[in-house]
Amino acid sequence: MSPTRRLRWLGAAPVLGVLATVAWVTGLRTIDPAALDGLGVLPALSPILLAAYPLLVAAVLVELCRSAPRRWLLATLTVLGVVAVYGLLPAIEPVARMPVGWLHAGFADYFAQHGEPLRAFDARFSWPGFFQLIAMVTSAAGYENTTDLLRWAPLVLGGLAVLGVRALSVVVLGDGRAAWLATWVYLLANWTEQEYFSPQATSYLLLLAALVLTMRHLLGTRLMVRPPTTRGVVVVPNNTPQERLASLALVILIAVTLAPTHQLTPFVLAAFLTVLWLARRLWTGWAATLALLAPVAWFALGAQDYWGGRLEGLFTFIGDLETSFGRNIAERLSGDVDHQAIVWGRIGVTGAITALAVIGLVVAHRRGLSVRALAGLCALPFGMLALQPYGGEMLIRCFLFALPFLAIAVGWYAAHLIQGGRLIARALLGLVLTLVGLTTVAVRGGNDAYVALTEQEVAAIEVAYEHAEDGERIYAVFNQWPLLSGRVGEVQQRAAMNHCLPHRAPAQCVRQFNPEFLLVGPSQDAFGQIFHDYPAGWTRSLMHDLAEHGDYRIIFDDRGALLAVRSDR
Amino acid sequence: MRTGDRAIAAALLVLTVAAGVLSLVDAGLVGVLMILAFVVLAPGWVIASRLKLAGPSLVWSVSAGVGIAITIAIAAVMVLAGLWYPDIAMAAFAAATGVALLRRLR
Repeated sequence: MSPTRRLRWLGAAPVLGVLATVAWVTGLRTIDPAALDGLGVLPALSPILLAAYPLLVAAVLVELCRSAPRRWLLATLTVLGVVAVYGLLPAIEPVARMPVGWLHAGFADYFAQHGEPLRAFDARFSWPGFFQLIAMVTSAAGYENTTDLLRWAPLVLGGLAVLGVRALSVVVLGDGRAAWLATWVYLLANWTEQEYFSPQATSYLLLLAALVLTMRHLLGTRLMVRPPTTRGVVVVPNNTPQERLASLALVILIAVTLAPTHQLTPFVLAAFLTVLWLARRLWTGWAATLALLAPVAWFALGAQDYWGGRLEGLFTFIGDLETSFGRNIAERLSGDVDHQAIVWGRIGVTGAITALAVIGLVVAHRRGLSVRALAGLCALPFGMLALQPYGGEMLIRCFLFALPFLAIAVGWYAAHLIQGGRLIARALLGLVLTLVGLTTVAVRGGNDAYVALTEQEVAAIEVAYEHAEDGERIYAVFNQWPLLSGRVGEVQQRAAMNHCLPHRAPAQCVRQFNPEFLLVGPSQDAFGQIFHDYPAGWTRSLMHDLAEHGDYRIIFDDRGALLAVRSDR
Repeated sequence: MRTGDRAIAAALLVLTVAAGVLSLVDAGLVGVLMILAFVVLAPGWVIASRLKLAGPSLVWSVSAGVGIAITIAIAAVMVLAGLWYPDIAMAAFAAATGVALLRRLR
């Protein structure tokens, strides 16, 4: 083959992919979390790195516009996309972000050491599946430092989730352009950042596996095909009884192991199966019934530590949409202008994807496809807002659970646009995907002024752990610290402001509790500036004020991370 | 069994044996990563590869989910029974998976 013919055969997609890779790698630079503000990592990202994202989108669309897209190339571009989206923050930040991820590591270490949960300590120990899983792995390897797994967990867990959505898209849409587009819509629109080292990230993989098995082997009628018009008729899936029963058994196994792993996900699985049953797709309603029984049984029998004394409160918010929307949207639009812009970015991506999905469903309906079941699966997760505000995080979870199906609807529509052949439609599609992707990249790091940690903050709590005796208290001012990453159950570790009397200033709050150890650092300083309008450096001022009054003496001070010990200790 | 599946089974068998051995010694971070890779890839693939899942993405996403689910179940049984022996349990899990992979390779 001549070089010219070889180049034409290769096409532009590989070249664009290579350019994107070079841009991303070249543009990578380590950032200093202490220098971030309400916009998070966005101002610190190189324009060269940001150029990688539209180049990747262009590569994928160019390849999909070919008469015979090459699967190996699309798979390679998707892997690059996963690294570019989920691997960005681990690559540029000095230590693992997300303080709550460090807590999960601490809980897993507790399990590894003791072989059982810590009773009446934290609600999360009532859903111990993830911690038991990690504890089993680390204990088997004889390795005690679970925090080493934190940094790159988002890349692994996020990548496996993309694989699961790809599988779900293939089984619903077939192995063509639409499934690739659905995968990329999910990848580019997932701003939720729930793939960190967490029970919900692991549960999400289980959920996707159960849905893939259900869609592949337990549906008598495919999702976007009209079911039989005769009521009461359930079409048997086109496979062997062994495949059906094996798949059903695996779905039930997943449902049973989901029950002690996460509060919400098993109920979401049961609800999805119920929608499929009501839409006369699911071969047997027992799948939905057993999937619901498992988490109910766990809640009743295994989570007594959690609901003992707070049973009434669990049902208080049912139907209270005002509180749910208030906590999930209105209260989130707080903080300085920069932070609010980040929140609006998340709302914008959510709205855009939802709107595109609605358009896709309407177009599909007009083309004679059955969309009610898919529409039900897209809408169902948002119904959770009527049950619980979930600490203001319900809307994030709603979007995450709905996103695979929203992406399928958008993917179908995008493939329809590409097959229409019009250049303007393809260009607009590329523009929309690029804008969604760049917005997602920006907002995923939008909180990093206070959720990204410095090496010095990690070092400070290690020093506190070395010095603290059993029963003593290590407090941070706000939650933005890797508290409970160690010494779980041995020393009390809290964010003082979470337990203070209302409207107290940090200094008053610290004096109210007088903990033996007090931690402050850049992430807390940023949180105070963004959400409470405290002046820059207020944490250092607080520590020096306490030291000057003789209440505390500073024993660790490194690049804004300070640890003080009570003077009378 | 197709040639591709044979190659996958052989590679997973190597991973399984490594994970089983590493679970009985202090293997450090490399051991953790190998065992995690085993959990996510091997036991689930033994089951998923028999289900005619039509495509590598389906096979591997189900493999990951099923492998994680089985491991959670084993850990939960140990905790409920008060018999917390994760190294022995992981070695036994690897052994059972290895036997299943050997049978696939025959």
